[in-house]
Amino acid sequence: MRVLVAALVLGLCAVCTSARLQDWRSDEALWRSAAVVASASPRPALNLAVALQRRSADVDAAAWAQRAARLADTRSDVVAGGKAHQLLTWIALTSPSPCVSSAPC
Amino acid sequence: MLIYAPSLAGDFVYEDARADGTATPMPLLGARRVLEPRWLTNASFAWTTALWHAGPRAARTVSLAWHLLNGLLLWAVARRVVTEAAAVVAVGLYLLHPLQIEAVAAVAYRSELVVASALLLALWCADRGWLIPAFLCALGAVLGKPIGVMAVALVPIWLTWHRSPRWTETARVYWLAASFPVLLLVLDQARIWAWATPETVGRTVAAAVALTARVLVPVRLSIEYDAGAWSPVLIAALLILLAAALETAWRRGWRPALLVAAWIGVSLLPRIVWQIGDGLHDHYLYVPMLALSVAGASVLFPHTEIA
Repeated sequence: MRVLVAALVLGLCAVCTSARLQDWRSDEALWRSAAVVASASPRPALNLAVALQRRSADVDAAAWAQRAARLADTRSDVVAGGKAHQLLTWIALTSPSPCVSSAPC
Repeated sequence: MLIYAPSLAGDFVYEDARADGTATPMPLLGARRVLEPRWLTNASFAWTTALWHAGPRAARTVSLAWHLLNGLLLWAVARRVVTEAAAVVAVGLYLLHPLQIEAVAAVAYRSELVVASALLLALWCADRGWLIPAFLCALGAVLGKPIGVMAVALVPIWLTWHRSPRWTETARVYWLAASFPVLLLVLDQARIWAWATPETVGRTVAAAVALTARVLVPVRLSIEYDAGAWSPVLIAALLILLAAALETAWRRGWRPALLVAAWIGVSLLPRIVWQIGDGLHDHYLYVPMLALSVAGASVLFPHTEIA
């Protein structure tokens, strides 16, 4: 019986580990999962925005940067808020897409 | 380790840039810099780059191999304390638990693997009565990262837990005397860090309790947790729960639970007292998982005996 329980526990660990490893494929996957778990924290949203911007997904990056800025304002997190606004400015200046302004496209 | 095979193809993530071996050019046998903190961690990055290549696949393969090595060392140590079946289960838990992913898949946190290796070697030596080599190995955990010095305090906890006949009163006195200058050195270094306030201590301890709870229910794991969202009421409730659990364990003599509490407390003490970093992450539990795995396995296979 104990052997069965041990095998079940180890099997569950293996399944959870295998599933969790999918989040470690890239920065984007990692911070997307973090943004779900820590949905009220600005840092995961900001880091996801950075990862998306590196991939030139400027529209999504801008959306997440705006979310990060809102969350930072809620938390009075001046550092994260500053970085979020900096990123938004950078995307607005460098993105070829017309859909990265604060207004919906 | 087929479970971890998919992670070998991933990119460098988050803080892995620090693992770029080309950024820390170091002679393979740089004796002059051997004894500085993090030497072994940084050297492993440089060696991987020099002997293999600088990409994420090589770095993650080395980390995975190191994780397997720690599993073998844990088996060698645990089988002297619990039954063979429990030792096997402990190793399985240690290698396969989802909380271990962060220390293994994120190359930047290889320092945790190095600290665990040094600690396991120290435990292996201590179990055989080789206390001077054990002390040197525990001290060698600093070659992984500076906080690894807490390994010096973890070895006597282990020896006391399983009532090692090697841990005589004389050995205890000599160990404490030798630990004193080490702790003075750590305190000296601590002047560069911020001292904690009662609020940060409470918040960090509560975060540690929540992180430890993820050992039992490893779902919604994340590279970052949002302890800032916790209310003082929730933090106070978690602390009361922790105190009640410890008091119950003490009264009933639940030695595995006390071992786990002591290991986690000592391992995380620098972060609780000196506010190192912001928040707690999964990889901080890589060393405490050594005790958690053995304690968990000993609950499942409860007969303990000293070899």
